[in-house]
Amino acid sequence: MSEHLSRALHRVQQAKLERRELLRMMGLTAAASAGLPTITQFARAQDLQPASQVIAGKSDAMIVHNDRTGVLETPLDLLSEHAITPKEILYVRNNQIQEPEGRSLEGVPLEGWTIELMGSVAFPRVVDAATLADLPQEEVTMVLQCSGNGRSFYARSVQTRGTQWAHGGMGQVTFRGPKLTSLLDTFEPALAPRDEVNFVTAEGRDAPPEGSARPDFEHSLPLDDVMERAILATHMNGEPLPGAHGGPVRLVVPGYYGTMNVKWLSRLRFEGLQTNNVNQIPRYRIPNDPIEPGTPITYTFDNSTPDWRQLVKSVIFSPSNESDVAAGEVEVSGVAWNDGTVPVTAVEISIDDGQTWRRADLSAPHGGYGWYEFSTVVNLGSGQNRIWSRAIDERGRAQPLNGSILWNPSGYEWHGADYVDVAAS
Amino acid sequence: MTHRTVIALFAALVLAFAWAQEDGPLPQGPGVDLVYGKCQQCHPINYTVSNAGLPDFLWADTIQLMKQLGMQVTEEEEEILFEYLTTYLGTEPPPEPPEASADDAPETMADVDGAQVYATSCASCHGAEGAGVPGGFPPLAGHAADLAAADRSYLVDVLLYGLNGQITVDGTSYNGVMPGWQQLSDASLAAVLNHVVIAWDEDGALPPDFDRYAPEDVAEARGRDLGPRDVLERRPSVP
Repeated sequence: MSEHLSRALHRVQQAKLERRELLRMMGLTAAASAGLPTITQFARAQDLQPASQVIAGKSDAMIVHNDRTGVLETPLDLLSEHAITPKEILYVRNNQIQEPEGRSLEGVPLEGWTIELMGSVAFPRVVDAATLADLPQEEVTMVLQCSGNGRSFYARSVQTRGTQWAHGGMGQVTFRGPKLTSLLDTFEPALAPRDEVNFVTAEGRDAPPEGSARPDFEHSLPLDDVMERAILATHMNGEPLPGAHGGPVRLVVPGYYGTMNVKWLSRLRFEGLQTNNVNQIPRYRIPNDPIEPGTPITYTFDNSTPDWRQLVKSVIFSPSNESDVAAGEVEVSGVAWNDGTVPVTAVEISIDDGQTWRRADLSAPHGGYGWYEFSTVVNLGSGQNRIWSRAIDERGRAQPLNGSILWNPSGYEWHGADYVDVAAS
Repeated sequence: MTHRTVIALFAALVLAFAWAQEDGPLPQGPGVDLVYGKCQQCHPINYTVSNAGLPDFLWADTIQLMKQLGMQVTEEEEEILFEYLTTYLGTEPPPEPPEASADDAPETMADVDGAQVYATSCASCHGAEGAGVPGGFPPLAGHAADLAAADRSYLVDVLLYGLNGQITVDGTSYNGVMPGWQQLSDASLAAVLNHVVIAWDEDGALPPDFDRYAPEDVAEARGRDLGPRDVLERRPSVP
């Protein structure tokens, strides 16, 4: 939370407390209980609905950012308990929601669901989703991460716009379904020559409310990069894909940010140009060259890139931020991943603000697109300690110590070196 | 009665009036009602609050983005939103609220215009003429009066405590979240209720002797332990 925000919130809370205290001092607590509002009652009417009422089956331990379309964050302590994130606690970020499928963790029947293949193709097709089950199946364990995950940390330099995620807009899940290439081989829409078809634009069946001026949600992906790895996921974690996570069919591109994995898939357009939909530009992209935090940028297709491939990143699970630990040997653990194109080669830990680093032990990844678990033991002296972690991959890409070097107005793709502050005694 | 007791009782009276208009999550200031009215069409107000600290250019940019995402505002309204957001949720701490004084009288019905309250706080979702958005936001025209006729106090609770869950209006289903509006004054809420149920009573649902809403109706309904789901359970059955 930014210092400014916490001041503003504190002031509002303080005003309420002062009134209440005044009443109490004047012996009017009886009057208060007889009908004057209390803080609890006030808060209740303003409270967001618990996660299970936004999406049936979600754990009420989840942090609710938006109780309308459903924007739910996984608390880090819950996330760290599972190698594969269970559907009950997996994060959700919806711009729009497909009703009623999106309101439930139940699977959605493939029967009756259709996916159009169109654009620069000789033979536009309407694929019956039920036939996806007959194609060869591909299974991939991968990190699914919101492109806004970690946005709140940009406020260390200048506040950015959007859902103020901490680290819990991510999870590790196993998707299964046929590859995009299988679909194209089977239904043969006959794409125009590849120099004419550069993008696949994915649309979901979800739509803005009727009569609303809001544009529909869609994203374009670079065909060369996604063709071989994209799958049409019909299952997650061994079960039919929950409606809340895009069931019955979601376009899944391992290594890409969550937003590009379009839910409730209804149409794939193969086109020469990427869409100019608001969700392709100016939303969901970052500058190609760093900009000074707090300065504007007018996005063009040339000066910026959509939130496609995930940046290399590590997150400390334990010890948790702002926790108390016993001085001496303390185990530090967490997870690290990248876009899956090359291995993550190291996670380094520092307890002296980056003057020296030591390598943590790194597990084998959960498949090429999953996360690696890291752990090491550090020796903490009494008092306040800051423990840093940074991941590095085979291509030499590393997390910057100052994550705000990637500052962008909407706070996408936070991947600064992580740190937790702990009090050792 | 001692001098001190008189002062205490007088202070209590002032406080009681102050309580009648709750602080919402946003700091009080010029334009705050419009911010609630426009922002909450698409997202809970906590989004606006949690974005406090944005530089001025980014608030301006955000207003433009929200217009791209469907927010409809006049140029004048845009200016009010910008002034509020940059003053109260900008990079500088918000100005201190004015001290409450004993001279502050609560708003009366004479101070407020129900149509104006509606335009500021309600029209973004329910439409300028109360037609709603099918499947998105329920209509009020031809519907709110039915509800008021069935249970006069129900709509007071909707305005104070919000409404959440599945409802059906004229055969169309809605499953949205309406926030509570406790930050508005008793008189404002009473006036907007009268506007909604009387101006748009297309089917003549209200009885001729319908008792118009008064600030006291709202004041009495405040301070209960209700949430938006509880209000749904109170919803009268109307067509």
